[in-house]
Amino acid sequence: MARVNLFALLRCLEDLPTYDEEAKTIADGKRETIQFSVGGVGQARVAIGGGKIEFIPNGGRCSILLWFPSADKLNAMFAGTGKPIPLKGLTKLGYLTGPFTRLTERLAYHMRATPELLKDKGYREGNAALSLCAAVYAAAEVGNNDPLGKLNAARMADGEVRIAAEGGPDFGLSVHRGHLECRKGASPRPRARMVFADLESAGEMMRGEMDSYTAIGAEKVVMGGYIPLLDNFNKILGLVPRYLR
Amino acid sequence: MKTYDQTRSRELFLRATKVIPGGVYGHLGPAEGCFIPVHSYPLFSTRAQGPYFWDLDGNRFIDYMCAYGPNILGYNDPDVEAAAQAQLKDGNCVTAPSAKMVELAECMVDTVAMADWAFFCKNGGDTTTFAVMIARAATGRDKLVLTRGGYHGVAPWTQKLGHPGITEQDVANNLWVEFGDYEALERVFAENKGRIACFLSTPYHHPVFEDSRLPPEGYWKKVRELCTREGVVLAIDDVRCGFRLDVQGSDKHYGFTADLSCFCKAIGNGWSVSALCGVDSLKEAAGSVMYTGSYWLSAVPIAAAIACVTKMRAMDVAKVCTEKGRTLTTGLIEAGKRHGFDLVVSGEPAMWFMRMADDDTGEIHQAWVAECVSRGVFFVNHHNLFMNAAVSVEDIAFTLEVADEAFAVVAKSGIAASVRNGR
Repeated sequence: MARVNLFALLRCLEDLPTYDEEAKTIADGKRETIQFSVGGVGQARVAIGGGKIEFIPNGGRCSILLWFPSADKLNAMFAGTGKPIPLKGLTKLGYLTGPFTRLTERLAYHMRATPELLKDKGYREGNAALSLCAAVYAAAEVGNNDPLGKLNAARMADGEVRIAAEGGPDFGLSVHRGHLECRKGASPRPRARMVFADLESAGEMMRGEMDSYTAIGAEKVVMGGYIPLLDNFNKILGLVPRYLR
Repeated sequence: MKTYDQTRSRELFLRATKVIPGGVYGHLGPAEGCFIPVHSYPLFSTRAQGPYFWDLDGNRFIDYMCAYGPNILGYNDPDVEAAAQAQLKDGNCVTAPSAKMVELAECMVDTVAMADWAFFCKNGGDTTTFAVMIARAATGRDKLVLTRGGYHGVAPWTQKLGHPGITEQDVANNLWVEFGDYEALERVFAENKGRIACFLSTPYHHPVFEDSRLPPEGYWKKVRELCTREGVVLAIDDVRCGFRLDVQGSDKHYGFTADLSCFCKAIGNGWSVSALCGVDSLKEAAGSVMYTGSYWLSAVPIAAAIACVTKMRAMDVAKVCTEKGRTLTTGLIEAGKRHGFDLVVSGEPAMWFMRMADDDTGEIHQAWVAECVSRGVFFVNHHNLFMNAAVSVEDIAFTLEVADEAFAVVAKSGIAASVRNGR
């Protein structure tokens, strides 16, 4: 779960300014780079400022360094029940408790949909795009680390899977010898594709309002190419909700 | 050529999704059936006759999936239907089974070369599970050897760990080898000496999404000897191939004798009945396993199967389907060549698999199949196709005409270039 939190959920902050005015304002502020170092899991950085939020999936130069001795500690922070240990940037604790905390709250707001919030078209779009991003990156982590996920990933042929929503985000999931790697942007030569008709359809599926079989039959999602790749990917995707709660 | 419209199918599908998980689930549905794009395919039928079915929008299709195998004589075959209707008047699902059950068992023993007895169920998966149970009962062993990519139904033990609903325990006794790799099989037997109850395999390899593979020369003879030597039950899943390669069984076709043979699909020309046939030495074990179902001994499907098997024998249906399949696939390959496509055909002619060469995405093949379907020739892009005896010379000619036009459309669309060069 820590890898999903660190490399999938945290990454969603990148897209938050597109859908949230407050996040955009924070992103327009002074640049700060926060590094998350998690014992036994890995490191990642979030660079905020200069008009954007950037997720960097490794450690390096940073203005604030947060240390989590174990995966549990990171998960506790994501659950709102634990705090990190700052090793660098002690003078910037105000940024952590202020703008950064606000960003994570806004992310939670956009990802934890309620029937009331979903009445708003703009909210639905943001929820769909952020959920799709979280799901695809989380699937890569689950495929590389979860015992059942690894079994399904090992059954995937080499190649790239395009996962996209028309008029919305576009992801490429590359598979090489059962290892999955995800990136943003359209695949130049996908071996298989799974493209939602629009963000609305992606959101309905991500929120569980529409099952995948119905979505395929109703052409709310269009599949093509080497289907065993998608078949196994979907089995990994099916494991993701166990981690994204 | 006019292409079909599927509006009413779409509408009913949306209705179905409200009350049925997935709308149309399983292999007949748009997801598992790989309907790409979905709007080219019919989702519901209204009637079927001979080699054709008609969809909800009134479009006629020459059906080369044959309901995934059951249709072998032609839909609504008059002899099979007459037998079923006659039995229906007398009774179907009754407390005491009909004498027809004994007649069908005698018919199977007379027809299937390896059979000393027959046992009836409903679906192919009923028979494969029963075969495994019999093997375990007979040997007192727990392990099964299966071939990678082989399909034996949907019972938990036939599926893979990591698939929804499957636990580690469900598949704990499964061992896997590549089809046709005798040395690998021998190695697995040696590594699990005294623990393997059963080797279960299709007579030739007909997985989805990849070329079918015929058994290598001498493969089955060596497998037969190995199983006999090691006390392992050799069970053949003849559910898909049964009667299409040889009415006496596919083991006969490939020159060996199985201990257990699983039949379904073609046995009743669409009536719901399956059969497990076995050799004498396994009869007692078969009788010892508690295995039954509410409708397994219903007399109507059994009466239909008697008529179907009798007719298949009389006309040598395997020879008929093989010849028609050979004519059709030869024509399809030639049609592809005319438009610059290399259509690769594999497997047995009565149930061939096809794909387009030089396309690891399958997109070109998917596009061509969809164009054929939208002109009235029902193919699928991921699974072997099936020939049936009702397909006429005119049907094959029409199919080739459609295939030619579909190739032309795909060639003109430029999809081949975009797939090969990236988009």
